[in-house]
Amino acid sequence: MEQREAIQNFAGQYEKIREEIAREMVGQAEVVEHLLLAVVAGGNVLLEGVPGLGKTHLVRVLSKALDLPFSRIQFTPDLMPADITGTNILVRSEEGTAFRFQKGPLFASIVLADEINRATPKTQAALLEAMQEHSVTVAGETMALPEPYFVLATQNPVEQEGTYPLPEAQLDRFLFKVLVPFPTLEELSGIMDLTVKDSGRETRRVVGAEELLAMRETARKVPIAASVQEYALKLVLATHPETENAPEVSRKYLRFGASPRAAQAMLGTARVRALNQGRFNVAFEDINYVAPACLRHRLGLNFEAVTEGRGTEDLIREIMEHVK
Amino acid sequence: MNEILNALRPVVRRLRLNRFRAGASAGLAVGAGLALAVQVLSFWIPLPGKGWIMAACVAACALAAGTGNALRKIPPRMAAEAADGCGLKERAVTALEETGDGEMAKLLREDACRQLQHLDPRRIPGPRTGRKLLAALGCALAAAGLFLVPNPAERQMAEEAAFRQELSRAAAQAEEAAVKDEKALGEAEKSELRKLAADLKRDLEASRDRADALVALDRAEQRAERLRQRTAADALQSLADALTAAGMEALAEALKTGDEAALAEQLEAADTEKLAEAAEGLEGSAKEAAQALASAGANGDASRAAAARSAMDALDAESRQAVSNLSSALSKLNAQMGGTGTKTASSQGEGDSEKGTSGKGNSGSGSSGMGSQPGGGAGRGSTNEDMGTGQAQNSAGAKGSEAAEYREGQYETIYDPERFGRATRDEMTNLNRQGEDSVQVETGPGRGTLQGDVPYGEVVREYAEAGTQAADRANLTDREKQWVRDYFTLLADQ
Repeated sequence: MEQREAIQNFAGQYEKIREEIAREMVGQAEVVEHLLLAVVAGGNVLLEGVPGLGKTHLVRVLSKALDLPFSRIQFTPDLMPADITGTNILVRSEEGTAFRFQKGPLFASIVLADEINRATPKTQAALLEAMQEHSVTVAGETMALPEPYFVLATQNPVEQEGTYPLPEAQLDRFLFKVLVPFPTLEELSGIMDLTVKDSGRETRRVVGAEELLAMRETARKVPIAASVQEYALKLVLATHPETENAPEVSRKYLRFGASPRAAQAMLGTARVRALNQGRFNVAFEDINYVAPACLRHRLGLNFEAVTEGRGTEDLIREIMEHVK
Repeated sequence: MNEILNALRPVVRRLRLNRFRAGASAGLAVGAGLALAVQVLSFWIPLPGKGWIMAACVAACALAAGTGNALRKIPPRMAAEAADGCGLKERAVTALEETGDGEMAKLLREDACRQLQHLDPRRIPGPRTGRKLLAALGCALAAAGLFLVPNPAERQMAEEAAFRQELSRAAAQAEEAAVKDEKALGEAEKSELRKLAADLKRDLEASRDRADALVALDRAEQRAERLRQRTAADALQSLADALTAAGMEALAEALKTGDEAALAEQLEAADTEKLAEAAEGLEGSAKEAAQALASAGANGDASRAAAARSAMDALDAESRQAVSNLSSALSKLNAQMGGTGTKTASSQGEGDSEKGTSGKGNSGSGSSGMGSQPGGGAGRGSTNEDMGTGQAQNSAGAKGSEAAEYREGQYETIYDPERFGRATRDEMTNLNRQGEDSVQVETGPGRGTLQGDVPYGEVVREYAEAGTQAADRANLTDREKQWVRDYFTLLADQ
């Protein structure tokens, strides 16, 4: 009965989180939706947008709504891996001097990796273990990170000079890549109002860590019909130009396609969306909703695509049309 | 699982209805195509009740295809997919697949059932029948259009139907005439007359064409003639027997010979009272003849001659009246059918010179019926077509004429003098006839004369064989075939 209650309350809890975030965030509904889907599904998110759109603010608000420890890492070219993972420091005590591990900013539930593409690949790689295994290994010692654990990274699509594009292996560890669009006039107006008027209200805790984990566990039980799962898998396969039934657009413009993690991401987040929509099954529309965010950072464009100016968005759209 | 299947029942019903519509439209197209094929076929093969056949094709194909398609099994998954297509967002399919007992699975099934109950099955899209219906319409229009095109097979059927009707009418007329004739006949003759009429009716109904009908009529005429002759002979015989029984053998003999003068002479010595007594025991024309004889006065040759004439007339009347209705009916029918029309003594009383001729063509009066050219053998005038040319042309589509086509090639092979290398031009030759003045006749290639260039004796057997075989193959009556045989027999005898 508790389980039934938990299932039936899922959508309500989800909606409460969204509402709480919306009180502090003007617009960006799709971004918030994708972020929540990924967080509930237990994945990491890469937010891409120009500076000043509220990406950092969004993550902060999220952490408050979920009442989860939050840390922010501003990635710079001189950032070292130890700066984010932590390091052993020499501590003098009554017993004498000893090395003590000083935890780095990775040891939080929600880690905001700001402008992750500005750090060196070595530092970027330090995040890999944390993102995938939720653990950190320093000097041979592996330490678990708290659950739930999310890495929400941001990057600037402009100012590419002096940046280090994330390697495909690291990109693959992000569940979603969410594009943060520039606000509309109304949204800008709302942002101004929010900035000037101080409501004096803090973001309230909606759900805690345990409840979030419970929501995650509930979402994992949502059944998927074989045809729907097959559709998601076909989408992933269609992004590979070397496969037999790959569409023409894949053969022509893609260097490589999405990994199986893309399929896991699609199915996991589609389950969350289905429950959020009040259903107890995954539908094709759920897959269609989450597919672009799952695929856009996992496709490698070839030279022809770059020269012809073909972007991943319209390629993904064409691939989805083909598979449909 | 069961609740899902129950909830899917309205969807299944709707799918069956859609399948029926799809099948029926396909069947309609096929049926219309078949109907068109039947219509096209009817231009070559007569098809009675063609309209019904076409309608049956369309209806049967539509019904069979629709029913067969609707009765095919509809798997639950298919129904679930159809329901999901109406906005259920894969609830039904997932509920069918999810067989677990967890809370999530139960909630899923409850939700799916709820949605299915609220689903209007009419939202399930129907089959696309546009093209099939268009095809059916096209075929139907084409078939309907062909009704406006003249159909030779149908015309042939109509002619056959008219022919059948004509035969039925002929049979009825003959039967009616026979019934009229019955009244004047004895029991044995009645029975034979009835059998004749029944046989004629059967033969007419079995006739495939006009030639067969003519043969049947001719056969009936011959039987009627025989019956007439027998009836007349019976009357004569019964009178003669009565006279012989009365001791007037000579008178009976004179009656049998038909000699009026001799009869009148015998009457002089006859006892008129005995004659009157003998007359009482007779019937019909025999009695009439006897009474006529009895009325002969004792005085004057004139009265005896008149009595003799009256008696002969009475017997002739018997000869004429017996089966007269049937005979004239048969002659009339024969003429209507376009036959040669057997002219019997009862109908016209004319001589044999008119036997087998219709008076048309080039048979010529006074000549023997066959062989229009002198010594020409089986020339053009001898074929069935030529004998009945006028009538055959008058009756459209007379089948008898088709089979008896003048096979020009065959005749020319036989009668071509070139074959013997003795072709000559025509010339006039004196023909000396015994006891008569000589006459000049025209002779030449292909014309046999006593002095012809074709060696008659060498070829007459070959000609006879060819001629009789040709006659047997042709659509001729038995009498006409016999004429051919008789002709060659006479030639050979010469």
